[in-house]
Amino acid sequence: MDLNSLRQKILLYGFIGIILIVFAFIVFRLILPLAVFFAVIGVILLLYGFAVLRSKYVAEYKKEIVEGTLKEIFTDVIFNPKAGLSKDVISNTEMIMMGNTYSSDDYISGKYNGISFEQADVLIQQVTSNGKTTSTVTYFRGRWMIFDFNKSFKYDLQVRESSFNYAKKTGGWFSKKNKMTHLDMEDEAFNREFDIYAVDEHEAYYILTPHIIENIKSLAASTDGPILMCFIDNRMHVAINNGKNAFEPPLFGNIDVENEKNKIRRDINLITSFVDEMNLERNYKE
Amino acid sequence: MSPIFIALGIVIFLVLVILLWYISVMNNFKSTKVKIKQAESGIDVALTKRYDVLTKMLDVTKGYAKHERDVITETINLRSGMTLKEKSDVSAQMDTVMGRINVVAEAYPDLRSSENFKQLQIAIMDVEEHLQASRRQYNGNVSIYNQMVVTFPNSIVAKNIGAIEEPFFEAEATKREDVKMQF
Repeated sequence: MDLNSLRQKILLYGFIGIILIVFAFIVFRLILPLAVFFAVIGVILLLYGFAVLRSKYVAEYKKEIVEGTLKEIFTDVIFNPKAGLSKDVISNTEMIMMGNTYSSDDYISGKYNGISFEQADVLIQQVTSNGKTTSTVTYFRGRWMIFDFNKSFKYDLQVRESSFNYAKKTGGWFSKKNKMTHLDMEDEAFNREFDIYAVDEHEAYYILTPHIIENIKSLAASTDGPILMCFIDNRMHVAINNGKNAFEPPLFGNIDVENEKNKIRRDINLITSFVDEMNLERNYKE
Repeated sequence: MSPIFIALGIVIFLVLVILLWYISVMNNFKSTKVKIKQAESGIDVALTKRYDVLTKMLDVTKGYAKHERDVITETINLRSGMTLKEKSDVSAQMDTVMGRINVVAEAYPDLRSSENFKQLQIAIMDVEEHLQASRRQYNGNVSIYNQMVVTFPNSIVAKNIGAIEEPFFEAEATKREDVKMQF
């Protein structure tokens, strides 16, 4: 089914459902059984529209527009909207607080300029309930990207924007990893904007060359949320806490395929920028 | 309590605070000095590795440029206990040899395309990155040390313990013409 037709159907079911529920409230005191009937039908239509049809619409959008655009730019693409990065992949970095609620979707893996990467939307929250009230603290909502790094290194390194909350460094009381200490680079502006934690000082300088430092600054300026970079097991993790879910289709307004593809390309540009700006395709490994 | 005892207590407290501060600054000087030595040994390791890789590259290029091997063994003299300036000179000499190897490789496409040569090029790039990292680490720690030496009140402790400013590791580009190249 055409995307626009699906979208209009969702809105129609939603609209009718809301009308019926409002009507049910109006006739509630006059004819109770009729009010209940209209309320039930209204809720069913709302659920069908915003749950069933919307799910189908999102799946179609991601298959037709998102996956197609990804394949234009990357090779060996795997795109699974229902899958994500496993919790272990992120918790094993020991560089972010994990809360008690984790979900991830829109998993992408592929290659760009020969560099393998993975990406998914990630949500990490701490939900606490005392029986009467529930409070939710969001530790992270955004994109988590993982790239193969072009240098071999033994020790972990973390670079985080000062405004990135809920990050942590390895080497705590119960951690099996080596302890990280704070480090400053030669670039004062970089030191003001970012905090660097390293296990080994030499490797920190080896990874964070002046060129890489400049590019981290410019990439951070181009993202719409604070970033956290973790260098672990010869891979570079980049987490952007922008509070958004990527690749979500619009519900209101006509879908113009080319416009939507351009939006996806702008989203994807973040992945290609990291590979290009950090020169990840330049290999230093023997 | 007698005012004399109070005054005495304050004086003892102040003396203790100053003493603890002095010990802390002195230890800071010593630990930073250790970090500088550690970074300097990192430079030695990187220079040695660079020398080894350059020698291997010369083995691969020996059919094309016979004289560079003589240059590297006769002119470039890596030994233990070198001063920082000597290390900087050696690094510059190796830069020159590397430059000449690249010029030779440009002239011989089959050399440039050989797998051995390509692997060694990757190795030399990586070694040079490590050398730069060691140099920056060394200079970073020297900068911290020198700032402590010159700024008040740490300079008081520095003068007492004989701490003086350490030299930075600088690449000497002017020394490149000293290396004799023959064909």
